[in-house]
Amino acid sequence: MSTYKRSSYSSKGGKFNNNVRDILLSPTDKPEAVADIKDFSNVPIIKQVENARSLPKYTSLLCRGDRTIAMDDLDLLQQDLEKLMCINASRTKFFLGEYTRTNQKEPNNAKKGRHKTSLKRKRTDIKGTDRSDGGHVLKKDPSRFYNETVYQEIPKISTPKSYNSDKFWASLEPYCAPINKDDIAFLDTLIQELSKEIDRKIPEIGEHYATSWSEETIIDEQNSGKFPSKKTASIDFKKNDLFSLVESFGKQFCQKLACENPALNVFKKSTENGNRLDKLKELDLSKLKHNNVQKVGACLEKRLLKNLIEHGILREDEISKDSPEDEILTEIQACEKELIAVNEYNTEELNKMKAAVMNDVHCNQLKDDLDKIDKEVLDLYNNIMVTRKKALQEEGKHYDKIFSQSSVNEFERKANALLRQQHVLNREINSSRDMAMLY
Amino acid sequence: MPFTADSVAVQQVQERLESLYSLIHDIEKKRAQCEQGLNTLQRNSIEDKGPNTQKSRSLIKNVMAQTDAEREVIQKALQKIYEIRNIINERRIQARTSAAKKESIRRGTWMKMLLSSAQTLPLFIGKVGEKAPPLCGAVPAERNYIAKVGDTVVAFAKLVEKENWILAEVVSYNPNTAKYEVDDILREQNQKGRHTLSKSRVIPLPLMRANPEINPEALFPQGKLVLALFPQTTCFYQAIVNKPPATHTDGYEVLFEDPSYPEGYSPPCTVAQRYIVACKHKMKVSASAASTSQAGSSDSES
Repeated sequence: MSTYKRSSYSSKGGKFNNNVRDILLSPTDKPEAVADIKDFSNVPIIKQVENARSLPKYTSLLCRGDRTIAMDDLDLLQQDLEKLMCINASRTKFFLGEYTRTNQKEPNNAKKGRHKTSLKRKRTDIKGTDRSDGGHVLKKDPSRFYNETVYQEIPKISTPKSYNSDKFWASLEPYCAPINKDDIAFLDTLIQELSKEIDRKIPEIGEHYATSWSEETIIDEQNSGKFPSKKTASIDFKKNDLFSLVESFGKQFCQKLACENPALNVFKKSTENGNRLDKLKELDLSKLKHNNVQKVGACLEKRLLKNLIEHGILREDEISKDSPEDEILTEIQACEKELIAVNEYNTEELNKMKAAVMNDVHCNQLKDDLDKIDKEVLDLYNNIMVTRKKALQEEGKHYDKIFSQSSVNEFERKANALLRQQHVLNREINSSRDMAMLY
Repeated sequence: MPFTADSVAVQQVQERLESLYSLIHDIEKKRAQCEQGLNTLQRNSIEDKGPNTQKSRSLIKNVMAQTDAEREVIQKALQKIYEIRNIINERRIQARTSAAKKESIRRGTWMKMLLSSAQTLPLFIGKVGEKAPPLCGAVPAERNYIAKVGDTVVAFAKLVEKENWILAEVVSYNPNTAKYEVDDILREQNQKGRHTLSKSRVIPLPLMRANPEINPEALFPQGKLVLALFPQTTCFYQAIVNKPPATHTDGYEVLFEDPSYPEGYSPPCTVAQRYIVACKHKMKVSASAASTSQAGSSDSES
C-alpha cells in the first residue's frame, strides 16, 4: 500500500518538477534581472581588491608561500570557492542576458506575463492534488503561507527566447549599421573598377583557336608542373603535319579539295614525283619544323584559292558566299553589348548610391551636431537650475547679484541661440531625409 | 591492511591538496584577466559608444569567454575538494566496518559533524540552462535509485517505542528483498541492532545543494510540506517551508508542526538544504515535533 502511495506521489512530484524545470531551465533561459542595457557598472564580480574582505580563506591561502593547504582550511576554502562560482554563474547569466539584449531589442514582457500566470495555475493544481491525494489537512489555516502576493514572487521565471531570432537579428545588424568611411571607400573602388573601359578584342577565326589555344593549354600545363609533352606534342605534330596543314585551311571547301585531291593524296603518301605540290610540301615541311604550320596553311590556302580563281573554277563572290555566318561570334558580341549595358547601369546606380551615402553621412553629422546641442541645452538647463537654487538659498544677501537681469538675459540669449541651432539642424535633417526618401 | 590503505589515502589526499594549491593561483590569474576585460568593457561603455557597436559586442564576448575560463578552473578546484572528502569518507566507512564497536563519538560532536557536512555538501552549479540533476536540492531521486553504502538517508525506523523518521547511514542493500540495512547515525542507538527497512521507508538525502540564484526551481517552494531535521536532534518531522533559502549558504526557514503552539506550528527554525526532503503524505508519518516525548502509540514495521 505504502509503495503505491509513494509511487503515485513521486510520479506527480516528478511531473511537477519536470514541467516547471522545463519552463525554467530550458536552454533558452534568460535571467530575469538584467541590468540596464548600457550599464556595465553592476556586473557581478568580486574584485581582487575585495579579496581579503569577501574571500578570507582563499586570500590567506593565496598569500601563503609554503604551497600547502591544511585539511582544516578545506571547509572555508570551499565556501569561498563556491562564492566565486556563484558570482561567476551570475556573471555568465548577466552577460548572456546583456549580450542577447544587444542583439534582440524586442521586449518580451507579454510573453513573460503569460508564463507567470501559467506557472501559477500549475502550482495551484499541484497543491490541490496533493491535498486530495494525501488527505492531509493542515491543522491551522495555511493560507498565510500561501499569501497571494508573496506566492507570485516565488517562481523566478525567466523568459525563454529564441536563439534563431537572435541569429537573425545578428545577421541583420551589419546591414543596419551607420555608414562609415570604409563603406564610402569601398563604393569608390567599385565605381572606379566599373568605369574602366573594357578593351577585349575577340581574335579572328583561324590561328588563335587552332593553335594558340592549345599552345596556351600546353604552357599552362607545363607551368602547373606537368611536363607532358613538349616532345610528344612535337611528335604528334610531325605525324599529323599534313592533316593539320589541311585542317588549318579556313574555308571548308579548301579542306575538302585538299583532301580529295588525288594529287594531294599522292603528296601525302610519297615524294616520288616532283610536282608542284610536292615541291610545296618540301618547302613547307622545312617551315613546319619551325612550327609555322598555321602561316603556311594560310599561305597555301590563299595560293590555292588564287589558282582556282585563275583557272576559272571558282568565282570571288562564291568564296565570300561560302563563308558561313559566325554564330558564336555574333553571340559573343551580343553578350558583350549586354554586359556593357549592365555595367553602365551598375555604374549609374552606384553613383546614385554614393550620392545617397554622402547625404546619409551628412545626415549623421547633423544628428551628431544635434545631439551635441541637445546636451548643451541640458547643461544650460542644469546651469539655470543650479543658479536659481543658489539664488533662492541666499535670498536677501546676494539674490540680486546672482540672479540679476543681466544673467537672466545671458541665459535667455544662450537658450535662444541653442534653439535656433536646433531648429536649423532639424530642418536640414528633415530635408536630407526627404531626399533619401526620393531615392 | 588498514595501515597501507590509510597511507595510500593520505598520499592521494596530499596530491590533491597540492594541485588545489596551484589551482588557486590559476583561479587568481583568471580572475585578474576577467577583471581586466570587464574594466575595458566598462570604460568603453562610459565613453558612450553604445552597447550595440561591434566593439562592445566583441568585448562582451571576450569577457564571457574569460568568465567561462574562470568557471572551469574554479570547478576543477572544487572538484579536488570533493574528491578529498570522498577519499576521507571512504576511509571512514571502511574503518567503521572493521572497528564499529570501538568507535564512539559524542552526541555534541555528531551534531557539529552533521552541520559541517550540510555546509560542505557540494553545490551544484551547472552551465547556463543546465537542469539540476536528481538529488540536488528538492529534486527527488530517480525511482530506481539505490542509495550507496555509507550514504546518509532518512529512515522510518522503530526506536524505543514508536517509529520515527531518523537520520541513518546505509550499511547494505539487498536487491532481492528490496530492503536496506541502515544504522542510526547515533551509535548508541544501535545497540539493539541494525534496522532492516523496505525501500519505501528510506529516503535518500540530497547529494548536492541547489543554488537559489541559479536553480531556484530545485528548491521547495514556500508552503510546501516537507520532512525536516529538527535542530539538535537526529529526527525528521513534518514542517512547512516558510522561506526558501535566498543564497547558497542559507538554509530553509521552516515551521514544524507542533500542537503545543496555539497556531499549531513552531516558530521559524533554520534547517540546512541537506536535511530537508519531500514529505510523503500517505506514509504514516511520525508524530509532530513536540509530541515526541509524549506519544504512546507506535506503528509496527511491515
